[in-house]
Amino acid sequence: MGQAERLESSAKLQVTGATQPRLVMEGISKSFPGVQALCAVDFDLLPGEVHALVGQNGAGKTTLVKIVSGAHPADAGRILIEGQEVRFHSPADARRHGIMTVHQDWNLFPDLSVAENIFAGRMPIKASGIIDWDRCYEEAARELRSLNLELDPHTRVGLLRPAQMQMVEIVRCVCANASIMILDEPTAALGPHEIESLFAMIRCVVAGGVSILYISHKLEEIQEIADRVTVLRDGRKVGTVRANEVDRLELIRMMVGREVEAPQKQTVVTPGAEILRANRIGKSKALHDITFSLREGEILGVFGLLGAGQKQLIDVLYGITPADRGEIWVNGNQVRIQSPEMAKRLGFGLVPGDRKREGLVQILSANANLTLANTSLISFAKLLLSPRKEYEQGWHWINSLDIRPKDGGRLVKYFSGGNQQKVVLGKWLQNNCKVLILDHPTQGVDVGAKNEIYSLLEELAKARIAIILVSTELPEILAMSDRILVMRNGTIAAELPRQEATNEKLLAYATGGN
Amino acid sequence: MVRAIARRQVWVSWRDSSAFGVTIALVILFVIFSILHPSFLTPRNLWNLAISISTLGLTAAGVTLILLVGMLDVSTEAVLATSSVVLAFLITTIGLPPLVGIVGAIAVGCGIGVINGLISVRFRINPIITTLATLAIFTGVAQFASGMKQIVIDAPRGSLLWTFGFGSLFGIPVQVLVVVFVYVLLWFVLRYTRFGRNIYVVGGNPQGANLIGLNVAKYRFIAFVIMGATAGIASVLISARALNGWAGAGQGYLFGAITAVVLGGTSLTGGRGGAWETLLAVLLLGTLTNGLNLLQVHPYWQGVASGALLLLAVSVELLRNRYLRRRLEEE
Amino acid sequence: MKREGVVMYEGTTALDTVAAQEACPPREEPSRNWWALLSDMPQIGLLIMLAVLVLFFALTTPTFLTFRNLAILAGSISMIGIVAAAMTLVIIGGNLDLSVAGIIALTSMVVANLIVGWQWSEGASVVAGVLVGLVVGVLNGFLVAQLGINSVIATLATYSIARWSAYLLGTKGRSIPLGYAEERPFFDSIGQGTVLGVPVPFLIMVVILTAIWLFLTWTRFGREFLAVGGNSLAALLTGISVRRYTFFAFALTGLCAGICGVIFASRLAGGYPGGAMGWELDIIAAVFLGGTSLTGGQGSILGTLLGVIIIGSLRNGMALLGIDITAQNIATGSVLLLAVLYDRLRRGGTEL
Repeated sequence: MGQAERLESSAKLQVTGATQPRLVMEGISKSFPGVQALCAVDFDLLPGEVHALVGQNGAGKTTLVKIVSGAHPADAGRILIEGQEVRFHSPADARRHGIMTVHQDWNLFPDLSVAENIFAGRMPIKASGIIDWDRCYEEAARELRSLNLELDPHTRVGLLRPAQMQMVEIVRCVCANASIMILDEPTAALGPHEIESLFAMIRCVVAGGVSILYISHKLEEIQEIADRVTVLRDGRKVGTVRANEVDRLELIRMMVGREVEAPQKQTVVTPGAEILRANRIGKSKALHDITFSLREGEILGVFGLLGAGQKQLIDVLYGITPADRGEIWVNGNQVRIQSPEMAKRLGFGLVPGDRKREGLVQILSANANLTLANTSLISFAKLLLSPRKEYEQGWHWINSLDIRPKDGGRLVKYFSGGNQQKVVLGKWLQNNCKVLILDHPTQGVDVGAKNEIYSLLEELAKARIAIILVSTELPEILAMSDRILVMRNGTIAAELPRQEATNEKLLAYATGGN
Repeated sequence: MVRAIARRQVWVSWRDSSAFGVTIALVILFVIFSILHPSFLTPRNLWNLAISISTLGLTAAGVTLILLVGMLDVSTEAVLATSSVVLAFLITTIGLPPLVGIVGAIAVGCGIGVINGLISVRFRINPIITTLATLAIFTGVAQFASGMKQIVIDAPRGSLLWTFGFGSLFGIPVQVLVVVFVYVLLWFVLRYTRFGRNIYVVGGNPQGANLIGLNVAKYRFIAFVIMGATAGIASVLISARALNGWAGAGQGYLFGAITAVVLGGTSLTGGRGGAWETLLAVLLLGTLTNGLNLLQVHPYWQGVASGALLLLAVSVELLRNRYLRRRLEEE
Repeated sequence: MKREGVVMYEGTTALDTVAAQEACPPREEPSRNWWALLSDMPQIGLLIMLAVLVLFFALTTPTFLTFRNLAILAGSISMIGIVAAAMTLVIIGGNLDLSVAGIIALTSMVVANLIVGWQWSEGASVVAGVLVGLVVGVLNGFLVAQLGINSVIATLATYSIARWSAYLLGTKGRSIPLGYAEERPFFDSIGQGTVLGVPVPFLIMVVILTAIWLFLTWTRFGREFLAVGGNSLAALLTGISVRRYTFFAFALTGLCAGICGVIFASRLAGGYPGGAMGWELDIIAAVFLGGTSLTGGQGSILGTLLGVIIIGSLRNGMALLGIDITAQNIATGSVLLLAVLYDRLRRGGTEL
């Protein structure tokens, strides 16, 4: 380990030395229809530096990364590498300039060995053009050793743990002569011990002169690994600070800003009888000991950073992947929820996070989608479809939810994002659902529709529907919830009533510590 | 030490692969058949066995490649038919030398592969639909051109075509040598060339392959062409043995080939499998047929059994994957 | 605001407050003239294609448009049509069933065997034959929906099993002729009878097509089926059992192939283990021609019917012109390719 420390200190020396930045981004702006994602953002990356990029969801981190990696062009501003202005037309362009992104898993080849993954597409060959397997394994072993990794280059990548896969990807980038590496939420799926070894590896990589753009929600990690931190908020740069000169609360304050703009929930509904209780439920390694209860007319916010186990919680509650431990009680009866079909029968409804892929059948009309969860309501004798009933019920929900345009016969794919989301909501109201689970209901929805959805949720709570609101957006959670569960690493880190919850508290619980 | 690890790895990966089961099944079959029938282990029968699997083996080699890149080609029987008729047409009807006929037959196979590849890859039509259509078209072409008759090829003893059908070299039938050559080539390409490794990369994760700058479409296209070429060679072997060109030459081969490849553990979704695994499975199928024939089990029963065998092979593959995934999750 | 049939949460009208309620306007019936309606139909291209074909054959052959020939045409397309109707559902769900030709052959052998060998009554034999088709269909459904095996591989295997079982049923794999010595009024009428000059198989096809069309467009299960085909993930998350519908499509296709096999046996007066060779191509081609796609979940029974008629007319007309069956196969394959290529080019997007 002594060597690693020495290398680390030399890396710090390099940073402090007055070197030319490897990457400079000046005045980068980017807008999408209806959203100004980035507004004149400056960013620079020194050789051998770990520069962290933080901000809440929607602050513009992802957009900035996509511009650096060539996936999106910028509307304005310029990018310089080693002082030369460059233009990227595709991710391949960016790769050619040594900029590589490490993705979670979808860039690896599970049936091939570690060594082959490292050299995928450019296996070492002998002079005769034949693949030099000995050299392949030896070089892979050498690379792995030089980064202090105890991995056998012969192992099939499909058999590795997520952390090891991530490391293989990093090694691959190093071997492909990456000068700038983008790590996007690299620790999302890792345990504490694995994070330690990943960091050790990152230090080795940086010691070799590679610059790393590090994106994470987890502030304590950032303080451990990063040299500098740039904070983004609402598409603007708030500031760049040295990681060791700033404390966590200060960072959180920079991320959150002074005022919270989300609408505050107007009314407080006195919750009714308990409708759902989860007792120590768990699912393999992803979810542990989840205990909570939910009452009629209550909005339960579930907050957590990306990959804290919210997705798994939804899957378990809605029967997509049934729980393997613990008990679920609905209306005082213990139930085993084995499939979404069963969950629907028990009165559950799910507004999924990816509206287009998971929520709507695009080739059907809005009316058909609105009535899909309970088609027997629009049929004679529970068999034959009645176009009149379908039309009238469709109209009822289009009118009640104020879906525009008021044309239920139109295919649902021609509606805007907010209106599509209302169609998904309407589907469950039509089925008379008792427990509504919402997964990031306002993602990709413009501000006006966002507020409409919020007031709809209030109305639903008044109508004694129990709501589980899963979101990574703090203002939304704070504004809408009666009670808040904070998740971290697949467990519940805290349960807070609305009065006690603040931005800082929630973030602190979600990022660990305290 | 690296060598020792390598040796252990080879053993582990072999034990975990379907080839392990196939080998054991093969050994068991050999033992059973040699006990049940005295003439099973005679050189004469083994010679017959080797020749009987050569066409299936060649076809299966092409199917292995096409499944490795994650595509499927069901037009193989049409390629066999068309190439066989073209071979006879060139040699018998026009009177060209056998070599030209052989080259022509293989070229026809490649040509159909090019058509399949262009339509499936360039126009992104589901490969099953594409090859289903070309199956009909080229079966029709072969039947039309031959007038549904077997065109006799006159190949005197010692001529090139005769050698392909009946000749032997160092006591090994030429047909077997061709198959062994093709498999060694396939194995070599898949294992020792960048092209071969990229086949696995493209089949295993097309998105990822695209990200590291590989042209996925190109590899898929080439796989279709090679599939056509191996079927062309297979048809030369069939025609040389039957000494005729016939539109019915290919019947049943696609089914056998797919069964063999799946039995050998090549995954239907691409990226996993290999030449030796397929060859072992071809041997297993051939041994089974040969033994059952010796025991005078009716071919119709064998047909039913082969369907059941394919189902069994896919199911086992499915269960194995589930088991591996569960083991992975538990770790 | 009308509320009958709407189940609300116990009498509350909470949501009425969200937006000012408007009275439900009367549903507009599409009241355009027939030409606008016709040109709006997605099958208009198929109709034109059919018209051109009919015109061409009417001009080039003296017999194409005679009542006799049309009756023959109607009889011959009905067997393909019955299976294609069910196959439409399989393809809407994103799968393929290659086992149908095997099922047809097996059913014909079972029926012939029961009548000749076992001396069963006509009715019982027919029922048994149809049930055999259903059993193979159920097996397909189990393999694909429950075990999750690739539908092409699974049905290729069951095709082989069905086909070779058909051979096993005949002595040394021979066909079983029924002979004309005995009177079998019921069985013979299934394939050869006519009602008011219309062949019975055609009537059976019309009934089955109508039933499946009714199912798809006018029942709530048909609506759920379309949802499964259109976006199986969204359907699953809406609490619709994707497995059940996939299974149903395969079982129904087996059943229809069984019915087709009985008609086959009746028309040809016997069981033929090698019969129906290559029919799966005509069936699948007809469905694709009708505009059903493997990925989009879109499909129409009317389109399938037109596809069946086009392919049937093509074969019939070519036969009248003296073109033999091999060239007909080439034509069918080409039509299938052109149909999918046209569909691709219309929607745009090529690679390489």
